[in-house]
Amino acid sequence: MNLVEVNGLRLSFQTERGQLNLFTSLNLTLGEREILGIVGESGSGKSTLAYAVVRLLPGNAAILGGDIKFEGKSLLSLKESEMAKVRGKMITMVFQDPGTSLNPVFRVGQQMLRVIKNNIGLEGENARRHAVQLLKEVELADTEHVMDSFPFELSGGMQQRVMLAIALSSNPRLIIADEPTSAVDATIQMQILRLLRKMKAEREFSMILITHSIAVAQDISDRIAVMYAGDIVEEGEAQSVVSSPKHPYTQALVKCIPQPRKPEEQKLPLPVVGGQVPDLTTPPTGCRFYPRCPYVMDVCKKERPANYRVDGANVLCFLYRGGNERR
Amino acid sequence: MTKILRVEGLAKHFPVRGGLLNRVKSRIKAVDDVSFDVEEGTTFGIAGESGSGKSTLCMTIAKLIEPTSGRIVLDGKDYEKAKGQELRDFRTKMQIVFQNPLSSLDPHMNVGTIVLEPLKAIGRLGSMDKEKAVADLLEKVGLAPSLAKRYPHELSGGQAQRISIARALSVSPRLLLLDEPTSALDASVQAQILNLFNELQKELGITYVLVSHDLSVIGHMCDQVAIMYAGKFVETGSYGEIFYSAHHPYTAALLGSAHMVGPPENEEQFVLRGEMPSPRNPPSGCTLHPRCPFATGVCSETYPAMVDVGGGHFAACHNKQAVVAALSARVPQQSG
Repeated sequence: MNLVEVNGLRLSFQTERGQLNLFTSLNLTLGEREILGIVGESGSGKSTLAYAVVRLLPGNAAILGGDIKFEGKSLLSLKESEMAKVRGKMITMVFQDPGTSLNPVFRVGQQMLRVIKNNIGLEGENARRHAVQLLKEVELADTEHVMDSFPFELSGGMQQRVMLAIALSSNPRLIIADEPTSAVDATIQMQILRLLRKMKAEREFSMILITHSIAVAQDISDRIAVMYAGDIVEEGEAQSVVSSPKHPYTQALVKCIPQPRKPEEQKLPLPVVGGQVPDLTTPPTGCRFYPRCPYVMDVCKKERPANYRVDGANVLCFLYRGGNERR
Repeated sequence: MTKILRVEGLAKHFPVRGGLLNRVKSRIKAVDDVSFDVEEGTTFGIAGESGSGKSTLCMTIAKLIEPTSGRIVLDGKDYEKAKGQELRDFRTKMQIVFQNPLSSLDPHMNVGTIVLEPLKAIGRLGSMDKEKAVADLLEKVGLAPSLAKRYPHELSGGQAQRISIARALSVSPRLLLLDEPTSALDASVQAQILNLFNELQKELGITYVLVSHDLSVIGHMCDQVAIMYAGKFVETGSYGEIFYSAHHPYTAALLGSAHMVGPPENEEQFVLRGEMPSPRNPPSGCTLHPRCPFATGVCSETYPAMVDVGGGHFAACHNKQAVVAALSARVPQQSG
């Protein structure tokens, strides 16, 4: 059974310029012990999708249809008090900037003990032992010192490790990590990604990794879903999405990242997609990518493409119409 | 080839004060003894992580802060004591493009006013056909002249960065200082902006000094590359030398973590332990040694000198041979 199933999710925002229909019918599954990387640029809806799963949407967002199932049960029909028990316990989160997600006026230890008490009911010496154990698991040396520190006394990399320890404290089934390495330096990012790989091998959780970097997603994900303007345009096994992208947008996204080249070819232009992400209060009819697509056909301007199955990937593009339609 | 910029022994130390009399207790060496030359019409890249001192170096070169010691020679002239007209002369030769385009554009000015601001500041605006000047500048950076009446909040990130570039180009500078110019942009927009920089260089012969934490950007743009760690250059050389024949373990670690798309490489050998040391209390000897997988006894005692390893390629490491040997086992894949 899948841990998470998103079926036909419809979600809109009320904006000053009218209703913005971000998701028209979104489908997504996440298996047990699987890491799914959701990749997209700003405004693609990758964070909204993840926050919809934990029902932490901003006030102007509304879910208009579809369902989100977690362990087979619908999360959308839960009362807020029941949802609060799922959040923090069954599903935990790691955010981009650890400096703003830790409380600056409490010591790290106090914050950890409070979370441990609230979510798993441990107190006193048992809770402290649990906290120290978690800090060791995220490879922090001198755990006593870390427990007694205020967040600002720790470096960004150490703060992010503390966030990971807190996210692990209730032994969750699902961790949602929103750009967990985007605020740290390259060499620290490397360390955090290694740690995530190690944690995944030792524990039994699934993860939704939200990132703007397809290279980071490739590094630790089993599968990758690429989002563009509120659509999942391609979803498949991580290595093959990057090494043989199918959707024209994924192809552009992979090709536009500068790669080491022979010195004589170094400065040749990078392939780019022209134009800009559409304004979704007035989305293009048909495929949302067609105004920028190099392979645009007549049908793309009139109809919304369906998901087609190509070499194990699901691709939202008419180019693959010959294949078998999934739904 | 002429040298457009020459930096000699540049240092910027910040005093740390404390105690009853607020005396200077120690000094933070944000930039320490940095020297380099930039040839006209080329791109010089400075790569490093946060805290390496690359932004302080950038601001010192731009004369936004005073250096503690060292010389900056631009176009054959030392502007150390420059004031008034002389400083304006310096500013017309060197302009800056900052990281976050939206916070470096005045929200109260429209695009037309913004791009002409530097010309106004140096008093060259008087007799100009302003509308034509704006249209020419916008065209240079690939934007429609109709954008002139817009305000910054109406622009996308990519458009806003193009406006910053147009503003910098308005005084026809010889050199542009680019401080993380694409770090706030999405990947597809970054590619457009990098292409624009290279087109402008071809067309105008302009020189760039590019500061970035992202080695994939440095690798695409730069003819010469310097790798900076804890205030010092630890390795300098041509693009080919640095990317295909690195001699310093920090360069190797940065290259390994640059996250260019490719098959994942698990090279434990090049992963650095821990984090950048506090500049208040730097380690003895080589500042990298507590993190370095190649460190030996001598590393904690003396700071290695920058040694010429051939072809204008310099590296400061006691254990260069070990690094080269380990690296020869893996060569970054070449593509396209």
